[in-house]
Amino acid sequence: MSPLPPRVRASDLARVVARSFLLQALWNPERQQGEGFAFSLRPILTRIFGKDGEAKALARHTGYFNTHPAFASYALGAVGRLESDRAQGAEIPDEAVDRAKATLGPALAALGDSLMWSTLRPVAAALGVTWVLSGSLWGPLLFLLLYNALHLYVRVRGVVVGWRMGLGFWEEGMRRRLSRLRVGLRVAAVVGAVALADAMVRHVAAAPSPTAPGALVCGAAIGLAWGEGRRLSASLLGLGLFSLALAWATLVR
Amino acid sequence: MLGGWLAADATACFQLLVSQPLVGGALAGCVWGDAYAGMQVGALLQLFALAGLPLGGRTPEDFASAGVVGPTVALTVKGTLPTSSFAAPLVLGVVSGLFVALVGRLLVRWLRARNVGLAHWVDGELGRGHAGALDGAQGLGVFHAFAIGAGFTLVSTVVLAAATRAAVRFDGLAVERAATLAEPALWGMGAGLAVRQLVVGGRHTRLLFLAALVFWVAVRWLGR
Repeated sequence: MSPLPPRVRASDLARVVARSFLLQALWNPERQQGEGFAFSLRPILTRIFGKDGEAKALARHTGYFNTHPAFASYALGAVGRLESDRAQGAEIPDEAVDRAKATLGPALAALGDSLMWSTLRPVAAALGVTWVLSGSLWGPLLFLLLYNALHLYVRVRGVVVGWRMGLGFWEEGMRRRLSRLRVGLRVAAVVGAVALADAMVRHVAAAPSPTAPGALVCGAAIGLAWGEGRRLSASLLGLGLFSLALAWATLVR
Repeated sequence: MLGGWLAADATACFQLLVSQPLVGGALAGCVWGDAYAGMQVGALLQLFALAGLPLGGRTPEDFASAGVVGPTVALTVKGTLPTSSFAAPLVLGVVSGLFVALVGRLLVRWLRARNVGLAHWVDGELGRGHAGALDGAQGLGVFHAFAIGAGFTLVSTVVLAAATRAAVRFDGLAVERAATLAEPALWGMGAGLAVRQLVVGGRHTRLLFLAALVFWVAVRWLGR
């Protein structure tokens, strides 16, 4: 009977967290974060399979995987735990590990995208921009602090919780806690939206041009009417707006 | 160097959002000696950046390079205009940034397609038992993102700064007049895009926003 492989250490988990910052270094349309997932998991696989068996184990993890980059930490911890349990003798087939990744990817993406990209980033940015418009130099720092406080917490905590609880981390309690956090962020988003509107009105009120209030309202109406996922990019719309202004300034003297 | 660092932060490594134009603009402003001017250009670009979400397999516009090029162009043309108002440099910087974001997206898409070849090479090496190949490929991925970001930022800064200076020399007055009209319109559009992002999420959020807006208007009105 072959001896049991060595147990994974806390330092291995710390290295998984550090490597997860390069999860998207080789992002590609075919496998998206596949290579990055295997790269991040490598400290655990090396510990379990040793230098001789790690290449084979890594090859099993380079397949398609995609989720929110910060929330991938939960999947890394949980899949690392599955691999460790398997090495310690638990009967877990390859397909079960693949199935776990295929299930966790979209679930964590839905959670992470709505929490981080659709809520936290706009809230932090709106507050940062508001500070800049009020004349403060600390707007960008506020933005970075607000976003990264949760971002870095999720990166570290995800690997630890995923490792401790395995696939069980995805239980009702976690979903409830995160949905409470989402409600809190929604309220912050409303505050951010009003603060931004206020800063904008103050900024334009200070402009000497009599056309400024009308132009602000027209621009705001276009921005509000433009929806996510439209074929026409907002940047293109902005360029179009400037082109119209330039045409007017050139033709009407 | 700054363009390369921010391009790498956008996807390849860390993702601390240093690559967002609000931060990039401040850093570029610091480099050119006017942090607040850079921040203003970055702030307006940031509102436009919020409209694009990097969800699923979508390639977002390249606002990392835009955050460096925009403020640099604005600060380059600042002294060449007929008046001392910052409206025209701001608008020219933002317009340059939006253009760079659109073009840069094609470059990011090309880089990502190139990574497929690197991923296949890793497969072959892992099959031969070379586990270190994965680390090497990851490092190369970060280096490519850095190098292409740095090169693109440099080239677009040089080209757009020259183009805007030429436009100002050709008819500086028309540019100033266009900017006077476009500046509040662009701020309004950016704010509209941002507010739309902030109040998505169902009827309750929109109602809460409307209530907060009415409360804010009442407070402002009473305060007069």
